[in-house]
Amino acid sequence: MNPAGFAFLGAGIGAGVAVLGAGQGIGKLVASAIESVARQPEMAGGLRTTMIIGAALIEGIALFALVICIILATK
Amino acid sequence: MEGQDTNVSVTTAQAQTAVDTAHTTAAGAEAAKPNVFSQMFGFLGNHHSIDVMPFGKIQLPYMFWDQGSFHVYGTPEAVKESGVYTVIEDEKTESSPLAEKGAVTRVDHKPIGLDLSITSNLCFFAVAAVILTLILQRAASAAKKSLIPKGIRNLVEVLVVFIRDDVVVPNVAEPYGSSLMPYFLTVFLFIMLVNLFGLVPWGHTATSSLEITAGLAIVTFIITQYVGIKSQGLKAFLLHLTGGLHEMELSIFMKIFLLIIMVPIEIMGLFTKPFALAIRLFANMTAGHIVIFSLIGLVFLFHSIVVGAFVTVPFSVFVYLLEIFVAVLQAYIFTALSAVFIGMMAHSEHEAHVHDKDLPHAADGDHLVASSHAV
Repeated sequence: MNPAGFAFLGAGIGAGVAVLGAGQGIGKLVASAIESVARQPEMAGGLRTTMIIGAALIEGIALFALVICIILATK
Repeated sequence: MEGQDTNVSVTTAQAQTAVDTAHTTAAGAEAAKPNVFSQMFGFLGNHHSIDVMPFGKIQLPYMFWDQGSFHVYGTPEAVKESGVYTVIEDEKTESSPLAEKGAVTRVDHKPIGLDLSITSNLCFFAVAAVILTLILQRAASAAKKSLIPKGIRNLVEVLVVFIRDDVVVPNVAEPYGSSLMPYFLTVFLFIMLVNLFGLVPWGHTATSSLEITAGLAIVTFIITQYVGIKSQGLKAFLLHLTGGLHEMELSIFMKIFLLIIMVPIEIMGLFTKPFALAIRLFANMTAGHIVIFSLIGLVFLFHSIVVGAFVTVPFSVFVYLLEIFVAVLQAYIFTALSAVFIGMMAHSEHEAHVHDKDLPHAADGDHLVASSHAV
């Protein structure tokens, strides 16, 4: 396997791991949010906003990783 | 890996015949030609023309500033006829690896000055701006006439009230909240409209190019820093870059050691926020299109009409509907995160403000606490 092959492999594995982490994070976030809403339904509106912002921040971190992978894959 | 590549590399024309006459193997000499996926992904990029599929193309002019003069050419042929400039045909060339396909370049491979062409992205950007102005103008003039909302004004009012009550007021402290309200409204309505433009036939998502999302994020970045410096003062703004270190009681060596670590991190933190904003919008708007293109590509990959009917069409419709949701959601997230970042900068002023104004109230609270302690 030539070095470019390793780069592609690294990019693919990196993208997979980044998505794994982000999925774990967002899953945990949404699980807690739903739990809180179930306990206190009157808080649903505020919790949803906070949850979406939190999810967006987690997504941002995952996207950083994906950008690195894309740079690696298109080199 | 090799075998897969040759299987995928079918030109569109051949792929269409391949769908009709099932299982025509297209492997062979096509390796040099662009494969169907890269050709489809090419549609996502910035173009010098707008595709209006059955009726051909609308050619947009090439305009650029080079060597002290302004050049305008109507078509790529005219650019090539000039003898000095040419249009990049390949994906990547040896001389300019970063150049995009379809971009103008000099024949002698020198970099051209400033490319000011009206591309498809810019075109739809402008169309969205004009449509937004017309809609809002109409809603505003209706609001002046009567208090009862009707028609398009109803829709605009719902969005405006949502942004004001759910995004700006809880996040941005007061003197800046109402003065920056127009900015948040503009950003939200404009990004939403531009995003939705990618979902209409012949449309083009301007926000799926990094230049445009970066431009929007830079505006947020400038406003964030402006609000930060104005509300905290330059000294406090610079001190906050030390991460609150000036308030800690540490030995001088420890402080210097931590400063060396903290200051670069805090400065980097200033830039990662708008960077994440730009990347998030760009990636979300691009990803949906790529998924739809990949689903369409399955038809060419399997040479099967069954896959087309039972996989591509239902899943594409599903992703398309998801994209409508994502288009609105990303506009909201961009606005909400801008509000959060700007609000974080205006925050310290907010606290001081509250303390000054509600002094009697705060004193009452202290009194209550004191009395409860006494009890």
